[in-house]
Amino acid sequence: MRKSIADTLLTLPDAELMQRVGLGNHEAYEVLYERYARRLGGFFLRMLAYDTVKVEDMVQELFTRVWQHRAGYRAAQPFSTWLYAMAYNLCKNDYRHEVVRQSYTAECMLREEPVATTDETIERKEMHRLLRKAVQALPELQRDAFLLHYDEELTVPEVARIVGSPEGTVKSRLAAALTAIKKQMKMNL
Amino acid sequence: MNDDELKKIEQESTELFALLREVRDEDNVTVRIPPSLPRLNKKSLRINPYWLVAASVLGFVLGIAIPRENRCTSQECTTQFADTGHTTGRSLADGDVNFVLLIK
Repeated sequence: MRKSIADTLLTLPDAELMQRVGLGNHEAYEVLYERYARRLGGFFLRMLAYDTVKVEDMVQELFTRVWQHRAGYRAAQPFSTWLYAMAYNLCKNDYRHEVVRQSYTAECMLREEPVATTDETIERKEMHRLLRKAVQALPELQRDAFLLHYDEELTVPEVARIVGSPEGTVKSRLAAALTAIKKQMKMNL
Repeated sequence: MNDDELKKIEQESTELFALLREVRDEDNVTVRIPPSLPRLNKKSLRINPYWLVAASVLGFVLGIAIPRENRCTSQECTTQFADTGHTTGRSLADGDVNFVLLIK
């Protein structure tokens, strides 16, 4: 019986799960956690310059806030936008944000990469490393917009709402970020 | 920024986007996340300090307000209190332990 309830929850859309979370349903909350924790973990990883220790704390803090602020969620707004807005604010509030970012280059170089076996894989891994480095080297506002739009696949209006800037500004940042990354990648190849 | 300008740059960046997706997927797979939500559970079990203070105050007030019944008025009790030199006139109620008697 309990299993069938859990299976039903798995099929529900985010907004409906959040409505249940609003009523204090822990199971619906856990389904949302399963659905988003890893994705948000990856987002934190990139936003916090691959500080893996910090990521775990941030994911936990984020979902604690989801529970605490569950009454503030409005179904008219997509849950993912609401969640990313909270995640983005957490990153902004993080006191180590700038310090970590500045020390990124050294940490990125030391980061363990999965062992590559063929020449093709080695080359691909090197491309991944260069891309990570290029994204982290972007100015903060460009990088934030870039990650939210291209990595997390949020729309430009959603990104604009989250970062608190006009859509035109976000588009300019995206174009500048793309141009800078392509230039950086070309220089390193 | 013109929509067309951004679209043009994006159209020229398809390879970059493919690479970006690979990096994202790799990051998302390797990232360590907490297996559950222990902090939330801890929070829900935490005792609110205000309740603790309120319970203490209530206990104190009730302790004073409720009249003690079945006070010991025997000669022995008053004698023992007299022996200890206490002059409060307070005698033992049921459940109280007369340490003076225990020592003797």
